[in-house]
Amino acid sequence: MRDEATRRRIRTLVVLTLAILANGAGNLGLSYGMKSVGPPEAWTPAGLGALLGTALSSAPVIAGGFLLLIFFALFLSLLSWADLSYVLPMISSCFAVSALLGHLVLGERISLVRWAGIALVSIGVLLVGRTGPSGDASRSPAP
Amino acid sequence: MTTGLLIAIIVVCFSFGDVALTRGMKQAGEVSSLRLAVLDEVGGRAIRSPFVLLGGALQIVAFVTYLVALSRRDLSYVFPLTATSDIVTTVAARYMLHERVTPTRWAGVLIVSLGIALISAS
Repeated sequence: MRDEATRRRIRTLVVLTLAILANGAGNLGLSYGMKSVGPPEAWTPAGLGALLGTALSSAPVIAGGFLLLIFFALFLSLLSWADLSYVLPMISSCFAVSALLGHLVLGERISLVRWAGIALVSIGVLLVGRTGPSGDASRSPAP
Repeated sequence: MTTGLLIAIIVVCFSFGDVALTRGMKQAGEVSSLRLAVLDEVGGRAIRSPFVLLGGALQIVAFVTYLVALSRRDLSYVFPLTATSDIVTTVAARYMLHERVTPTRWAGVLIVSLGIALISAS
């Protein structure tokens, strides 16, 4: 049974990594595409409908939306075997990844407070990672 | 409607939405590999699961409410408050899904939420 637990742990890490990458790249696509689409003319159903029409003709928006759909499928897959209280904080680490990517790729400045936030998220993810994908004692017995 | 009420709706819908999705996916069966046959089988059961559909609907309500809240207040005000939904979700996972949340996992969840609040508030 230990082999099964190890395999599940590896599968969890692979799917988590893919999900975080799909989320980051998807949001990057949406953000890049929506900047050229611009804000809605009015926060009314008609205004939002017009915005949706323009957005759906932008290739980066469509690519970003597609990647977020993939992210959602990967998220659901994780939930089919791992604890929600494990998956959620691990997925949340994508905020730290986005901030770091913004710094490394786009050269965005990161304030001291934000660095502290990135450090805290990293520590929290390490702690949650130590607990394993499923805390259910009957399914993953301690070795 | 006050912004506080909007944020309460966002947090509750995100948390209960995630709980419903988790319950539905546990019933649909484990995605034991990324082979197409497995994805097709589990995916077929997932999109017919009332829990998955309820969870998806709650997520959509939460997202639309989030957009409305953003139209009234700054992202740096709304987002750190919605980061508290991770804490509410963990409590719900403990009591509604009977997940074993160890002290280590609790510490991790609290530290991650605080970190997200700091990243988005600055």
